[in-house]
Amino acid sequence: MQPLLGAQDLRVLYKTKRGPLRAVDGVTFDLAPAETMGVVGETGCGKTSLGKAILGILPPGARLEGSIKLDGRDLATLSKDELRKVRGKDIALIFQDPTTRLDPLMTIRDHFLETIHSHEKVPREVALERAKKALASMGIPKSRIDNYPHEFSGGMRQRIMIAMALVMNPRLLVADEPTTSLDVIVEAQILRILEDLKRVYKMSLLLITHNLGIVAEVCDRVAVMYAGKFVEMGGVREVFKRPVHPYTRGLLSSIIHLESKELFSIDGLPPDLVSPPPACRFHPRCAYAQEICRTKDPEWVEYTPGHFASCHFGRDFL
Amino acid sequence: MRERPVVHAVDGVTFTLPPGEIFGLVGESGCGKTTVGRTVLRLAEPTSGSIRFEGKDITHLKEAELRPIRRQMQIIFQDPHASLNPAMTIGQSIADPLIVHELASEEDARKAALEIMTEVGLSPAEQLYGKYPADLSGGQKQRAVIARAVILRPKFIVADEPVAMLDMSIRARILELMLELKDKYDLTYLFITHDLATAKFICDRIAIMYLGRIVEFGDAKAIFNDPKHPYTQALLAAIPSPDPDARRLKTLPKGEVPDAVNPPKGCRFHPRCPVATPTCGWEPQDMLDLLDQRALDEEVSRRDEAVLGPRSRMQVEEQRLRIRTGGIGIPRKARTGLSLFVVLASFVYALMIPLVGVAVLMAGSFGLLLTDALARWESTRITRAQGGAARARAYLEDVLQGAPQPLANTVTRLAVDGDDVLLEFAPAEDPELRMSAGREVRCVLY
Repeated sequence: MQPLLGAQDLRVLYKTKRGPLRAVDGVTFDLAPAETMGVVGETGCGKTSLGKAILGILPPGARLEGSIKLDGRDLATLSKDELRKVRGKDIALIFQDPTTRLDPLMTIRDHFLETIHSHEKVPREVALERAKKALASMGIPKSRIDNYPHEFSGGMRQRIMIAMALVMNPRLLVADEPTTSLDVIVEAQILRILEDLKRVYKMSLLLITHNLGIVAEVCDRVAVMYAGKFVEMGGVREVFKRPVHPYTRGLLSSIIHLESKELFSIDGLPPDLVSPPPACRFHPRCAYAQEICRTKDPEWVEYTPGHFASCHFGRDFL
Repeated sequence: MRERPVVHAVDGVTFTLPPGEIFGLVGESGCGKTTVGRTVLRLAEPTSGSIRFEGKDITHLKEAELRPIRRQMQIIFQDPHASLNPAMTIGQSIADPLIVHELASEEDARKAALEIMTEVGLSPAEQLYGKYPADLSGGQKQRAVIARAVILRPKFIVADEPVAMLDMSIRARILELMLELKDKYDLTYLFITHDLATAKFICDRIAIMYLGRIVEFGDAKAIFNDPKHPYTQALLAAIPSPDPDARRLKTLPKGEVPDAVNPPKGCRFHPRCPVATPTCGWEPQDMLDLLDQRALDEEVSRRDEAVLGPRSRMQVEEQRLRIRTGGIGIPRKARTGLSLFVVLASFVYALMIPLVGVAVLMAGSFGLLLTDALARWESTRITRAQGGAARARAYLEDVLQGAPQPLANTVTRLAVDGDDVLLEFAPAEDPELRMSAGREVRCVLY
């Protein structure tokens, strides 16, 4: 099947005083229609930059290399205006903190009208009708369309954000830590909504998170990102049941869940992305590191169909 | 004059902490857990009730009298970045309490800070002492915050979501550090969290809070093995499981935590509870919420409004909902809109025709015509609404048929009263904390 989204050797570089910071450093992946892929990693691994690159909202001064194809059309070569047309219409996004993304001086109605009218010339009534329908589908009464963002709870604001993302019927939704600032029950409610989106609207979802538990709940595939690179990628069951990369194994054991028998955490800190460690970037924190890990880049090996990892000793862990 | 609304952030919470215990206060945001934490430290003032520390009532102590006690009680906040002064080096921040409390000279404070930094894993301490918070990772910052809390050798620490903002991969490390320090310095923790999985790991006893009240309270093991309160069960079920094979359809509570200004009657969890019974405290507000829920469907919403009228015509009187169906007037918004239109129209006339007198005349006649139209419109609406009460009563009966059973079963009376329909609910029962299977539960089921 033709992938909906394809990233080829994607790189994001930020200028710093100490030299270029490689936030995303050669990432390649496909996303099929109606597929949910999780991107997990620690703070500073480049997962948010990856999301921003796909949306074309990198800050000024950032350089984008490689290609991002949406339905075969390379987004990296589009002009700002063309990108703006794609964003919101074909690709929508939801952020971690809905409070900061909604204008406190605008009612929900204004937010919706702005979103719809920036992409389509439709009469006000038609736009409003669509907005109300989108709100209702997220369980928010249409009577509240004239309320301001502060009049809603955190969970409702996030549902409003999702409704706004949905109103243009996008094919791809990029969600960056969509539930991190929410409580467990509301988080579970939002996750269920995201699952429904896939089922009902056949929408693809790229879910960026540091919480592997969430990935296990909603994703079809998962990519584990470390220091700007994917270190493992595959079906969620494959990766969770038979993790190859020691970093993935570390992340999996560090989840504190109800069945955890003991506490585990990964030693050390994520590396500085201006001067990352040579060869395998995880080697300074890896308990299994050998000489070869310090000298030779590990290859991106397909262990079972669709399950990739880059570790010199991947076979030993299988 | 309107009475100012009062938020009962914390409503009758009682607990004791024996020395050396880790006591967990668990709940969603807005349940009052942070307020409890701040109040026991006298960082927030209780409206009523008392706080005792080592047998001494500190509820009304003056700031000067509190000072020596403050040294014994410290707090660790959720956001390590926000709790460190960006203009102070890490070392200065950690040494600062010693200087503020005049317990050490600057030199001694520095030494003590270096020592505690090594202890909390901020090493090499000498090198990190001069770093600023911005240079440190989230985990390191939280270690610094912990070091600053421990440097005064307190007996009691309130830890408010100490790992919530940290990456999964380092949460365990921070929790382990807290456990180590507890053993070493005989600390007692009040551990505030919304994450039951974390609480399970480190707490001896826990209290589950909902809307300002403790709903379940007891030994952590007992509660995790066999949660009793439906809210505790919901919190546990909501935790994402890292096993993709364990995906299942969860029974999640409906909606979100309601407004604390006007908390639900009876058991405060009843509107969201999946196993609620008729005695859980159903009230008119629940009926209004049900109508809101129905209004999500365009078709149903239109029908509801045609028969029952707009929400502004419904009035809550204690356990009674009064729906006024008679004399439905023009909505206020429409009225102001119309009069504004008349004023604007006369202005336009005055501009177009220089003879102001003519303009005023025309505006007047326009207004007259309009008033007439309004009156006629209103009279037809009233005619239509005649017999509306009986119709609304029958309609509500149908609505209740389809309503959640516990709610419908609590309605004791559905009657026509002149032009109004009355919907009466049985008095709400407010459950107390009761012992059940070795812990206290606030639920009518136990």
